[in-house]
Amino acid sequence: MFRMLARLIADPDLTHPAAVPDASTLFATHPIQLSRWLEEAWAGGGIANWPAFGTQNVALGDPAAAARLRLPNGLRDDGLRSGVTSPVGGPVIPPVFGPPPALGDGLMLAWDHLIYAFLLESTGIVEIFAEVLRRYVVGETLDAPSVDTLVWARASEELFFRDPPLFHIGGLTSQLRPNARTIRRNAYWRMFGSDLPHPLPGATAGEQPWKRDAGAVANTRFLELWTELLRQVWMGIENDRNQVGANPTDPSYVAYLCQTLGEMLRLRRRGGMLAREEFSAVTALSWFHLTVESDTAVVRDLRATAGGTGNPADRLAAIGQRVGISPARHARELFELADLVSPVLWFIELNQFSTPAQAETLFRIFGVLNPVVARTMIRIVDLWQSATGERIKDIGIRGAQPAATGRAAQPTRLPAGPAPAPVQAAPSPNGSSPAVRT
Amino acid sequence: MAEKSPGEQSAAASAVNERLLQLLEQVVANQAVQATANLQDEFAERLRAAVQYRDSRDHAVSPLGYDQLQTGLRFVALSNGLGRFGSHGERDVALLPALQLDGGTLTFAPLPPDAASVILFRADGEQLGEIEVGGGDAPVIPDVPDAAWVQVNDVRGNPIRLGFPRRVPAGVYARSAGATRRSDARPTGARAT
Repeated sequence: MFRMLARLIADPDLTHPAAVPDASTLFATHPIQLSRWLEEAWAGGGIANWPAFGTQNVALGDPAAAARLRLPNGLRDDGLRSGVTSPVGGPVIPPVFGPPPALGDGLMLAWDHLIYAFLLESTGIVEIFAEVLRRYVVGETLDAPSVDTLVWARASEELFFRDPPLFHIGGLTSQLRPNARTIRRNAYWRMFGSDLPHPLPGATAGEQPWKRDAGAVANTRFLELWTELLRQVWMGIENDRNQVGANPTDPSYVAYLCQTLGEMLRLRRRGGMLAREEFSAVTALSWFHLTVESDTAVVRDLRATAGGTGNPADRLAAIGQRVGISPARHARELFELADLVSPVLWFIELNQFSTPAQAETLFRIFGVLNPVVARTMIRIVDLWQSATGERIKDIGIRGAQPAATGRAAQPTRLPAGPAPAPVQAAPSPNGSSPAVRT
Repeated sequence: MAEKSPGEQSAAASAVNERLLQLLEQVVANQAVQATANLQDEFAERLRAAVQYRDSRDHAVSPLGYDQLQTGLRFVALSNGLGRFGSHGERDVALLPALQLDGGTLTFAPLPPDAASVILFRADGEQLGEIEVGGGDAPVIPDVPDAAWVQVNDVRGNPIRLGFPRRVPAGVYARSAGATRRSDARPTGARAT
């Protein structure tokens, strides 16, 4: 969301696609204004407010979730409004508290899918910036920050390493779940059946309370199905120009995979579950993503610049060196994947690829004037294969010659994924276990 | 029969010559007109062939159907809504800018140059109507309070833009500078179907 806000500061009506997001003004904005702007963004409804184009909108589990959890109108748009607006003369630093409407108000904005946060956090970006912040506020082991970086550090600490203001939508931590990182890992585990590649800082080896608390409902088949979808899409792309001979591409199977993935993800969202957790996670990660997306004041102060066309992963690696933490080896792929996979998974959840005709748009590229969907999928396949080491393209080659290898292009059954781990319910800290009748 | 005098014979010959000359001029003129007409027909034919060749080369019939093109457009619109407008130098834009719904009147910013029609939809997906427009028009469509989204098609009938009307609370938003409000019900040449 913060990357969207930086874009809105530069281009309030989203009419100039080439506009450069204004991270400097955003980072100079007071954190209470940013916190309230998030409240306004949530009230906009996000993906739940998008028309489902003739079908029922099934995003967020219940489209009413966003409306029912938002601040009441009288509070949000009066005493608690953000004042993050578009000044007449353009953005200024420090930003002024402007009259309504707030930036983005009335526009059809959406926030990213949880996969965006999962892929970005897999780079180690949160751990690196947590250490940067810690060093800035407790000592002088880093070079003295500029005032811009000082303002950024204050806002970062207030927004993501401290309990948010009471009753705000981002306020997830409580006496029941005190650690924001554990909350995010719990959401990743439930939605994708996956854990971050690095351990939770401060946790003892093997301690994974986010899995224990989730029970046996984690989507452990997600990664298998997603990889199978990528394989089938790649097969479709490879055979798109195939005019002669058997074409192993099966749009029905691709649609079935999309439908199954959509159902699996929506199952975790019933009644609006995980909506707040997702919003909180993607906003936090978008803040740090924005920090390394260009040569911001923080990047300059940490001597990690990469130039106008530089890559966020390069800046993150240089910042990691300053604090002695290496990002994930495939951070470059993960940064780009986060942007690309997010709209694809939203579309899958919205059932927009669940018919064979719709699913064909994932791989039809030959003769199509602007094959945006297929182009996105090609890039995802390339990056996913590079980031995970999964041989996605090989199966396409084998599948194109089923008779020669004796192997069908599509499996008999959907990939089953790993068996769910046995659930060990956490013991109740109060009272005693019920007596066992013998 | 009396013989004509040499002077009379000369006058008659002159009249005949003049008449012959007139006829000859008419024949030449008619041939020129015909030749010009033939030439114009040939030009038109060659032009038509050239256009067909260009269309067949640059705008091949898409292997995707109308519904599939709509799916692609909606995907790009969602990406735009997430703040993504393409990468690696490519600009993928599907959203219409500054579409405002004020008291049931829908006001557009100037449409893309290849826009040919605007289709209005209700939230449940029902089509409210289709309006013919020209490229660069900024139409104002009254009495459409239920419009939830609009789709712009190009001259070939392919969907090229999506727009989501921003409902304007009284006095909050300034009207877009590009959109001029008109007193007539529909833009010139607009036709509701």
